[in-house]
Amino acid sequence: MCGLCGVLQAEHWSDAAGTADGAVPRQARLRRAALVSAVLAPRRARAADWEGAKLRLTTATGRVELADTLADLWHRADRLVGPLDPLDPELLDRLDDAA
Amino acid sequence: MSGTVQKVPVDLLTGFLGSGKTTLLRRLLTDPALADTAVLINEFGAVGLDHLLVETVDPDTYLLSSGCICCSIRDDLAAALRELWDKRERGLLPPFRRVVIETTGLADPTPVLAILTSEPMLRWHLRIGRVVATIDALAGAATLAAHDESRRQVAVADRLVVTKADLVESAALAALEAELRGINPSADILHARHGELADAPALLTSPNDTREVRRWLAYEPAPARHGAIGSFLLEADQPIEWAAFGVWLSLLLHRHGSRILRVKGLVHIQGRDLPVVIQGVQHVVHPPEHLPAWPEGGQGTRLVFIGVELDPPAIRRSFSTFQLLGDRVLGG
Repeated sequence: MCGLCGVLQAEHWSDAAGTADGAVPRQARLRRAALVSAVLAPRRARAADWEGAKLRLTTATGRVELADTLADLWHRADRLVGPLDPLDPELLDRLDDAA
Repeated sequence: MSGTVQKVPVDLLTGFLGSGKTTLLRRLLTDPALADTAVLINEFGAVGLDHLLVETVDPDTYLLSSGCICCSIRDDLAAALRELWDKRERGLLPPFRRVVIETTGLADPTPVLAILTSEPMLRWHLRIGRVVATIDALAGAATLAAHDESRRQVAVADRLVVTKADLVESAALAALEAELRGINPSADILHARHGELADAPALLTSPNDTREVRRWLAYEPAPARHGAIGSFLLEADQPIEWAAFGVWLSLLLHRHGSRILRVKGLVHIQGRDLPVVIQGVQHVVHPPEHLPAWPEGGQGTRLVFIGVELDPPAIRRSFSTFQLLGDRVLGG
């Protein structure tokens, strides 16, 4: 099982975590969470890896939800902080300017 | 990739009403190479299973003399798939190694693919195989012009089978192929003549061999024609940051998956020598797979996007922004 694949498919996350090279999937999860946080920053929300199995979404008002997958996380973010459009020039400008 | 090798592929056979799906299906069911196939169809009447020497297993399941299994879909495809797998596990059906689903002529095939990735039990045992669409050589051009469903079926297909190709002049066939290429430049186009298709089992073989990927990438950009379905190529010479790519593609398909009908190609990932195959159909992304070698033409990320009213500059800019963000946030 390769550590790459967990990023796009939920089923691989738990599989990869149980393998001998679990350090790689864990690192991939942390990197993914850091990037999602950067994307959510303009909406004052952030993401973190949760127990190696889920993504924890936290808003500026303290609301916390656990997402099974990246797709699930975007659905929850729509509801909690409003839709994010990766083709929105304003969002892309903000991300370009992000430190 | 070892995690997906054991899964049973599920292929979709789609095509507009009267385009020859049933004839093609009957041809496939009689081929010895596909004897270990389970077929899910909406109505048995149209398929004419009597010709195939049918043994009734239960009211909705039939065992054909070829060894294939046929089941009817009453209302719920997911339930039908679960039941099929359950019978296989309990030894009530032969251990089929492939499932073919024939969709109705008016169906958009993508929700069927979504079922395979959204249900945990199905996701564990099954994987998305090929999408094969039939197009009538006589009526195909008019159908494409008149029906959005037909264009979407063509756009999401891996293989296009032009049926009744023996009934039209070569010039008309070439014109239809040009129409199809305008909608889906990366699909393989085959011709069925007199109901026969050369090497029919090859329709359903693995999509991730190097030869097939080479064909995806050898495509000529097609401007939007029918119903604003068009395609473009996203390229990156530098290896990409994988986490940033995953976050970007998942958000892009979440927000715009209804318009991005297909995305497929190769990505070159930082720190990895071999390419990874990416395939998505609307909101659904297949598990990424590794190729054993780069196809001719060199390394580099090349992704073909097929969709409705796509904005290539906006998608390219978004891709670049997320990659740069990845480099900054992750210190790449």
